[in-house]
Amino acid sequence: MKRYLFRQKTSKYASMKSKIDDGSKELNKHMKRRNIISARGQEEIAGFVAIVLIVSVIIIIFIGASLNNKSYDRKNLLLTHYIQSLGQVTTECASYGSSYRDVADLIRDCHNGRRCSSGENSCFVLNSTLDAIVNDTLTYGINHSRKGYIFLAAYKYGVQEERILAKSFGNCSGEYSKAEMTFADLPGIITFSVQECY
Amino acid sequence: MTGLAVRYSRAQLKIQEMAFVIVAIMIFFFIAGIFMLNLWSSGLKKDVEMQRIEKSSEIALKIADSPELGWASSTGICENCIDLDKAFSLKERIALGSNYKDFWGTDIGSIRIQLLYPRKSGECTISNYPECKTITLFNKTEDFHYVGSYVALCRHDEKKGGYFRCELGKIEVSARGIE
Repeated sequence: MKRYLFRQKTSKYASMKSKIDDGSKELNKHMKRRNIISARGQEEIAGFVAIVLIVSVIIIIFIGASLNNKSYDRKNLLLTHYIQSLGQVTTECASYGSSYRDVADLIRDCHNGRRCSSGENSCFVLNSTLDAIVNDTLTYGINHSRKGYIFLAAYKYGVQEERILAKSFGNCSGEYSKAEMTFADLPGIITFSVQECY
Repeated sequence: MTGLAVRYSRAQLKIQEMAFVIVAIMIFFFIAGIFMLNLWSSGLKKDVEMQRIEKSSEIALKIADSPELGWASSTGICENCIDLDKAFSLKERIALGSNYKDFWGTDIGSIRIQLLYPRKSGECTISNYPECKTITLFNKTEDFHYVGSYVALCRHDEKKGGYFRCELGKIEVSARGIE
């Protein structure tokens, strides 16, 4: 009886041991599979990161190229000739006898607060003359290649800068080219510029 | 055998996956290349157009600054200024048979000066000058395209006691090689 009981116990232990062995084998297998899956997952992540990096580098190159292509503040010879010729145009403002002031003189007069011999404000005459000239000589608008123009006149003396005129025609929000002319208004200088917007 | 087949099909799937990725990357680079090429060529076209305009306007200004047309006032020589009285008398001389048509070179097809501000109209003749818009010095051919540059058109105005008056205009030239 004792022997029988002992045998039963040992067989029980044996079966339990085999079960434990099986379990540990399963665990090992599971662990191995998990390791393989995690390694594969790591590879996928590395691939994904590489692709993201390549794409972002390409996007950066594109942005750089397109920004470089915009060429803001491009010099425009035709516009330079326009502003130079505009400065020479004789206005209806007379001062010092019969001498009629040109646009450049009128900007100077406007800065110095001089009046025309007719009593009109030189700044007012300058504004109306510029309006008339732009309307007759330049075409701009949404349906045109030129979207608008900005005219600026500023007095500069050392670090001091004073705006004399700022006139905007049409819409100026995108690419543009600029031209300017400079003339003396002692002790400083006056810069008269035009910005052509596309 | 079954295990080998499974492994084999998995490998095939991997190769297929890789092939798809390579094809996708190739297509992406191809499209990106076309986009870049397009950007680059449009920039180049703009530059060429800009240079063509600049060159043409330089030719026009060179003609404007010649002593036959240039304006010189008591205050000095004016840059980009045309003496409108000189231009009109030159037109009259050319019309009478003067050989000024080839003075600026045989490649120059025509030269015309247009007043832009104040707004006026019509070709200038003895009867309407200076209340006119265009002075066509000569016009040898209609085949060429006109290009030009902005200039100040100056003359002596007899009104209001007589004074020098400059207006805004354009000198336009058509020549062989300018398109």
